[in-house]
Amino acid sequence: MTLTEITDPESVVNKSKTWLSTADLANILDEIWQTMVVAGSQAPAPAMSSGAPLHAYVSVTGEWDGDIVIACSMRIAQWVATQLLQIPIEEITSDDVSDALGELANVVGGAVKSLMPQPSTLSLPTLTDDDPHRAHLTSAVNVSIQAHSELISLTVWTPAAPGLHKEAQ
Amino acid sequence: MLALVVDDSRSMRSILRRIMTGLDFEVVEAADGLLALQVLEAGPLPDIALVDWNMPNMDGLSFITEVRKRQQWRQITLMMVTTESEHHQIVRALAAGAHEYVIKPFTSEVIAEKLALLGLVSAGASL
Repeated sequence: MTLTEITDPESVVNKSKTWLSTADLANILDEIWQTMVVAGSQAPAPAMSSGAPLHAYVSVTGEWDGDIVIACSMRIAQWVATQLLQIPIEEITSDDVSDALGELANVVGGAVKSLMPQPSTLSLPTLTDDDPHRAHLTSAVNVSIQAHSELISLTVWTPAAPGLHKEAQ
Repeated sequence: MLALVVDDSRSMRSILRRIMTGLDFEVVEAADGLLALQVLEAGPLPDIALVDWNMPNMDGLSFITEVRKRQQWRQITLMMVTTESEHHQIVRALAAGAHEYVIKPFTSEVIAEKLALLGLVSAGASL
């Protein structure tokens, strides 16, 4: 696995007061990927074509407002499900895929939330085929990791309009 | 020994089941706090419940509060296993009656260490 930052270094949560750097986000994704997904026995990746990306996301509301979105292909999502559930790919259902990717988003979301202004509340995860971020969330930090020759991206969306940013302590 | 794993994610229940089974626990599962209360009502009582915080129907904090209201369930050790890492959330869980608190993501070693602190496995228990 390789870790790749694909975000323009200028594209941060808040250009004057950075809450979350790409390095922070890369560390979160790498640690959680290694601990939750890669640990244990390694199932082979499914051979099917990748198809449209899936998005699993959680929303944070409170002192900080944002969305945390994990996106990957169905092929990689199925592999994540086999890794978390430790069952053969032939037995993986669409509910398993939703559950596994959703739990990955939940854990990543919790780690991101812990770095942001508090108190805040984390939503339950949702899986969607569409890019899910809310209209007022227009600034993003994005990183990705690579597994089985495909990218798994993590994007944190936050408000960009003046006055919506929280000042750093 | 018997462990009750309470989490709305089947994936997380599967991870915790493997860890607890590796530590010689038998495991029963529930997908939310309400279902977990039904498991306790039906018995047998678990030695420990590993409880997520954010779940539909009844969250983990409410479940712990309900368990602590029942004298006959006092013997159950309660461990919160959650993404909630804010200090005031940890304080709330411990005040409600949780004995230990584990933040996701965790390793099997962290769970084993916490169980050893609680006297439920020997220190350095192998997985």
